[in-house]
Amino acid sequence: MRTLLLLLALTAPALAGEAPSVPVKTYTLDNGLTVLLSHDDRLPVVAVEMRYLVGSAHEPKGRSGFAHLFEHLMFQGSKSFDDEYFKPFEPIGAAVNGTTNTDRTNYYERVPANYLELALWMESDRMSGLLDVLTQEKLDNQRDVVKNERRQRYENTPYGMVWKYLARDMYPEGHPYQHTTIGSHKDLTAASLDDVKAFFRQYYVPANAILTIVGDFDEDEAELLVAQYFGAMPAGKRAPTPTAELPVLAAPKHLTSTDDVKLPRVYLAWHSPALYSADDAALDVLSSILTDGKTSRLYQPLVYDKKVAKDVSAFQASRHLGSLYVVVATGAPGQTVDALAKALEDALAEALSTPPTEDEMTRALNGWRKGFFGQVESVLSRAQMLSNYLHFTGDADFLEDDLARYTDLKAADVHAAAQKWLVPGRRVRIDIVPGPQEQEVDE
Amino acid sequence: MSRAVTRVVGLLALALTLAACGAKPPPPVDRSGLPAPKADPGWAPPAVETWTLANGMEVWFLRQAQAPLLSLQIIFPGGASADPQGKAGLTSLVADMLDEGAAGRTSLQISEDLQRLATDYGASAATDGLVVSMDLLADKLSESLAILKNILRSPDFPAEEFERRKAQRIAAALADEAEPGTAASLTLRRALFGEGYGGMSPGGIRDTLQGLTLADVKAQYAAVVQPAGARIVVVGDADRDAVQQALQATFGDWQGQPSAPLAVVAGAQPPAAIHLVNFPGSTQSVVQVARRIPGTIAADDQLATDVFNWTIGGAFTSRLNLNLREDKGYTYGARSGFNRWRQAGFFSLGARVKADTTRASIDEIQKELADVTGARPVTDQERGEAVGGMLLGFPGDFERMASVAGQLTALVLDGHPSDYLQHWPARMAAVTTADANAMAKKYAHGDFVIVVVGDKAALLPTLESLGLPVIEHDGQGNLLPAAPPTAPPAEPPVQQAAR
Repeated sequence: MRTLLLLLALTAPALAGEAPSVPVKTYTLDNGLTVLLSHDDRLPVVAVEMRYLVGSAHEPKGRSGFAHLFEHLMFQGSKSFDDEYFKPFEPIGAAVNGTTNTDRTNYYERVPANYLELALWMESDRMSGLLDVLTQEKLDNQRDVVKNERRQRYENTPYGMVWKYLARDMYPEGHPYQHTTIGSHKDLTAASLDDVKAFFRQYYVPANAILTIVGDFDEDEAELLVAQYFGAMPAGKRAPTPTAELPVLAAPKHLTSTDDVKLPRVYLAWHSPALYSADDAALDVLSSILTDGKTSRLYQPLVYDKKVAKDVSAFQASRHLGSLYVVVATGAPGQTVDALAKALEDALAEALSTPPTEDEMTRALNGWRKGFFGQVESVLSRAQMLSNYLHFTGDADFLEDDLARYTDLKAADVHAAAQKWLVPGRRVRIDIVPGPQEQEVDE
Repeated sequence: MSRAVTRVVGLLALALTLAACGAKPPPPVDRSGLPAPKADPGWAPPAVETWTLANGMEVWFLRQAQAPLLSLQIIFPGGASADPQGKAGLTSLVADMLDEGAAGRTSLQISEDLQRLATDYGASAATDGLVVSMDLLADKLSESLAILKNILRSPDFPAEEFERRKAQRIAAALADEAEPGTAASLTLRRALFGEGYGGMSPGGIRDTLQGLTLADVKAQYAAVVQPAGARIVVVGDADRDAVQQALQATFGDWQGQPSAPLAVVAGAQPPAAIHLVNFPGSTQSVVQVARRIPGTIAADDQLATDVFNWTIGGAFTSRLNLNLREDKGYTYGARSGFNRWRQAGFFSLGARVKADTTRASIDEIQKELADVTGARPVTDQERGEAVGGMLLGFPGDFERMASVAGQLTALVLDGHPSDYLQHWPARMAAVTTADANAMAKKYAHGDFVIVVVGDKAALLPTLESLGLPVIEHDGQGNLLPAAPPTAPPAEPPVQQAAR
């Protein structure tokens, strides 16, 4: 039985200052596969995103990095096409990739409009027939590739290891976010073919997936193709989302690590509200007020006036089970890390002591409003946006509400959120100072 | 047996689905081969409109109405290639300084003025042009242009802002020296082109930035940021007449000729050698194998090299990536590219590889080069995949306004005409397998320089056995004085066996 949840008509063409509009139809196949369709024929391209509701937060102890390693294996061939997944796509100019984060794994293809069926054929073949052709050799090869990805993006990128330290030092033992999505060498080495099979059977099932199609396609035809390619698959079960309370630090922590860098850097981090929950958008806007533009409340004192910092940034790293609010400053040449940290803490205390002015709010919100138009320019980013909305809010038609999360904010809301979450006694400070990169003892 | 059961259950579910919505049962999935595409809907890139302002500035305009946004870029010819000898980074510093105070508005005021409009402003020096860009809401064009007019025509260049921006650029250059990919890129350019055209980073390095003065910046501004020969690219949701009027009002009465001499390409292709940057303790090495190629002005073979490159290392399924990543597991990704500026360019193949596979990776890159010029030339199938991939992927390049504007700006920088994109599909379709193989014969041999960024102590024995001179550079790409002979390693180097 097909459930038609929602069908939104196109509103008038968006004007500057108004919200962009992305019509979406949501329905669910009998086997639980959720389908999102959003038509737009400005260009003859169509995006297909297949999202599995599993990320690194689902990984058991001793298997950090597994969800991402698994993602790589999904490109190594399936029952009826046992070859590189990219092979049929590159000759048609498709954009193809997959990404894994703490909360989900997604796979996407942007193909010429007349190749929609190819993308559905390929996605459904690996969803149903990955294990038929999986081999130890493929696992070993992609394990090596992923270890090289870790070397490239973490070990041999300046300050790259800080993501591991933040995960380790912000979360208690056993928290789903206590390890990184890339994982450790030791756990990657331990991953077995049996692990892969069990993971696939548990998580890579229609009931645990969202299929999103955006772009130039015929809706009736797309529905028929989706039913044809995915409707006959056994449902499986929707995997439970890991649960975790937002940790509360009893006391501030201060850690220092060395890395192959030229300049010291200070990270200040707090636990903050989850993606789309109350205060999440207020903290995004706070980031603009702290570090966007030369007169922002941290940039001006630290970089422009006193010149103790080379750069400063602040961001709400929003995630499903709880976010991190992070402030980062890199020292100017000749600055000690302690002088930098002192200046940063002082500037931050000053910045948070008063609400944003009306002009600060206008500038920040104008930027966010414009950003929403940029977010809907491409079919791929629209597809990811819609599935994100459905996955984390339960409503794919959330764009208008999402924009309103920002445009409805008042200066007092931003100030209150900052006061509530950026408490000095509950922050972790991590210093990265020049020196040989700290050895990883357990991996 | 369990599979048979789930199959039946699945079919039952499908039947229920169809019964519920009353549709005809879909045909069963045919897994015997990949599905054929539907008819090609056909698509041609939109035409670029051009006109000239009263002062001679040429405008390229492409209307794209999918969102109420505009992307505007102005290209002043010369760019980093107009940096005087020994002053690499000067034109970049001019770009930095344009919005640091103009027509009496201070740096901080301009920053806030732009933010109120939600206009993103940027300026930077590419090798062949200084590019100023604005991404804005379409209804903020005249207000944004009023700011841009001040920035471009009446910059104040306050001394304290100069000192700050210079210090920031030096700090950024210093920070970059710890980034292995940047160190490889700086060294590659220097190894191929010395301190001539293309040899120095457009942003400069610490050594060249230190000496720059405010007088240098003012003189370089006067020599580079002039309307004669400059081009304006506008893409987005606006009416041609409105754009024309707004640009005419902003720039129509601006006069002036650029006068900066351009750097020339130094000497000839250097001899084969290994150029090493020491990153002690690195668990990975950056490897780049590269040689010079002609620039966009002289070259008439760019599309043929695009096809050849796709096969050898441009695509994920290229020979290089399938070898180094998908077969050997040495790297997260291996790629090649034909990188061209106006006067010169380079063909490079490379990857960031696990430290103990550095030598093996170099060997495999050289083997791919030898194979494609010998036993394994580009096949008809490979040529078809490359041409198809580039042609069919073309419409997808027109989704985002800033990226469309970026494509047009690249055409300007390379010296191509405004109708280039209209003719590009037919020209690409005409590239033959023989054309691609001619490019292999032309470019996949000769003296290649090999750049390696990694742990010198661990790598040197395996590199020296290549029989090429080893030349050391620092993280800025500067040559280091020749090192005394190293002691032989206590044990023979370990080679990781290929699987």
